[in-house]
Amino acid sequence: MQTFDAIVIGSGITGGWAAKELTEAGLSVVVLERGRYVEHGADYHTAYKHDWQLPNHGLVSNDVKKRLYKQARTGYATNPDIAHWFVDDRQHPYQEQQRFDWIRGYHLGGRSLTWGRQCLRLSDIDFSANRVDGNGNDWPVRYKDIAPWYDKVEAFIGVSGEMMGLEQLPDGIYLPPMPLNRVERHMREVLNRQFNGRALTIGRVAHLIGSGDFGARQPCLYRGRCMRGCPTGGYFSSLSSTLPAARATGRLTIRSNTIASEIIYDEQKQRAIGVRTIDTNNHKKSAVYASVIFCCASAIASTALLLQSKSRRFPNGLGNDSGVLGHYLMDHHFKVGATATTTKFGDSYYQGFRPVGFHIPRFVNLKPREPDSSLDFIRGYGYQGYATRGDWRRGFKELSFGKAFRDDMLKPGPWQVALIGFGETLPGKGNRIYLDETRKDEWGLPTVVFDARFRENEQRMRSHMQSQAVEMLSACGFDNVQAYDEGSYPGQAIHEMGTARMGYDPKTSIVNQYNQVHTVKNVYITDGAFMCSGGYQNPSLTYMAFTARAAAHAVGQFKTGF
Amino acid sequence: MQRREFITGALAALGAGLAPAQVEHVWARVCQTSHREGYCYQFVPVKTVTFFTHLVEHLIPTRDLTNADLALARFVDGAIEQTRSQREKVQITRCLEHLYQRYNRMAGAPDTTMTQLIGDGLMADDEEIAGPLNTIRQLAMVGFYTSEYVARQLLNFDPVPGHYDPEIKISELDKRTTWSR
Repeated sequence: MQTFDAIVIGSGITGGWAAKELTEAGLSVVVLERGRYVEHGADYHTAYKHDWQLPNHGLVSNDVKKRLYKQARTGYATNPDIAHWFVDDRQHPYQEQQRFDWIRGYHLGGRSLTWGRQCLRLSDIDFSANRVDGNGNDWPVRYKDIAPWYDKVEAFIGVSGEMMGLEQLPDGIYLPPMPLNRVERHMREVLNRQFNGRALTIGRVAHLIGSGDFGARQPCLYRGRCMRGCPTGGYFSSLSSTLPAARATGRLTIRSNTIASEIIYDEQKQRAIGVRTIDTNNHKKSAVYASVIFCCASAIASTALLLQSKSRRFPNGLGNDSGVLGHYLMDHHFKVGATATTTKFGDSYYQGFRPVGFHIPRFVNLKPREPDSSLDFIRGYGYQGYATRGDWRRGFKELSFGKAFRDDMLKPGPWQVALIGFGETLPGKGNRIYLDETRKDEWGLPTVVFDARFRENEQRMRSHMQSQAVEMLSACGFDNVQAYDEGSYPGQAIHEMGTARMGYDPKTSIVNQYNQVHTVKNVYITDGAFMCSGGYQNPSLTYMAFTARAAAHAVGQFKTGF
Repeated sequence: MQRREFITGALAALGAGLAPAQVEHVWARVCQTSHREGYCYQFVPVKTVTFFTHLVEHLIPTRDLTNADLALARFVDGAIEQTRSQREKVQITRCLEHLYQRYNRMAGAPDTTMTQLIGDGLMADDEEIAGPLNTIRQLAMVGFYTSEYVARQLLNFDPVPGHYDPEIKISELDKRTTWSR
């Protein structure tokens, strides 16, 4: 019987943090990862490849299109430089009662290798939103509770950003911000001058900037190829940062190619005692045992695991006395905003492939208790955006050819500006996942079914996201200002949240304020599943902060007994 | 006619020096079949290969570039085969057949004729001509601008910038072209 102090299911952005915190506190930890083993650096086999060294110079092959037919909805996951970080949809099927783009990476490090790296804190506007407007349940946590953990995470992972002093987007511990380019600075000036309460700043991202002592990691080299994996650790991933820290303790064991199929519940002890596993290569079933279990497999996968973990005590899934397990699924809605071009600043250019654009923090409904009567929606949104000079790809849209065209496309094109809104989705019970026991994957596990959609509040918010983007770009004096709404489906933002929500009351929630399953105290859920609401902010930083906090709580409980 | 019958195997054969330039046909692997060997082989008219190469050269010219052996036609052909759906391949083949026949009916110098043929084709109301021809044009662009030659010789090759400079002047760059990595 293989026994550890703790089992961490998943090796991505939260699994790495759980492993680090628990091992550093003296616990022996096994990390279960259903995907293949990846060695930081050595296994980033496209990291140094040039376009001409990629198959078909980077064009997507028919074979990959067939295998990653749902991941392909991202528009980039099938690219040959990164396709190996996304799952084969034929091998890992799921079902859609309504369209849901479940974008996954099954390998050590998970989606921490391909994340957007944006690190935005939630604020008390977000933590109190459910209570104020009555959607979802109240967070049992407020900003002051999690702020020190945001500090801890930011200090460790390294976040480049600018202090803004905004209530809706609390400041953190930042490395120097990446600079705005000429057009972005112009936009910032216009917003400051003409739009009271709106700000433009560079994105806050988990990249090392400056000349500090970063240990084994090195500062960002501005190669702009982050999603291939960064061999020098310029951005934070669990492979570059948390797993090495955990490994350094000598108390970490990693099991790759190992699916967690069930959490074993002992009715006499009234707690979980281990996890049943399946070897993905030979389908051999086994089990590992521990005193503490951290579910960090991603919101959907962790909840699916709980739903699979049935017993006499929990016939509807582990910890699911409330019946809310699988419900209140959220994502951010996006792909809406406006674009523009400008021929001003014609001689201005930049050097380096900056890995982040600018950010316009939320500026609507900042006082939820005093709703803005001019708005027909609640909650809020922000924009991410960029101003860049087009390269030869702008020629795709033209119907030109020949030598003059060829040479013209070698030159920097006009400045292109885009504002991309990211909006909050209301937590609603009707947005859910459940398991289909009749359709199983090759390991005999039931497949996940998605039944979720964006609703009226999100649709009304999108209209505002469009109109305000047009207004701001027009005020900047840009040309060809065009609103767009490409339509957005849940899952596309890859910010799955909810389905095992946090709360005060075991009758209406799955985990308590420490991410501890109410009725199975030695099981913690710290990936996106615990989220009660999503704010408009990219959520990974929040997951990490709650994971670190939960790990500290678990260590205390481990020492005194659950 | 299969598209690969029109182009690919012949391009490969010519490129490998298996077919002397003076011959009218090359023995080329042309398409996947359900046949046990998986492929069928046919004699392919060299003139159709020449036409395709001529077409791609007019879309994105490379002959004027010193020591630039980009083999764009072969890149485009391979990209069609490996990255386009079966439906798109059929459309491209039909488009090429149409253009080839029209080209042979047109009078005038080869370069002028080809330029006119492409211009008319891209602007054609008939989407079955304009669409596939634009696909070929775009693939030629990919092959050209992502080639090592263009990245290193024509663009500002900078694979590891190491920093971000938010404001430089294009007029002060040695090459007033975009960055390439």
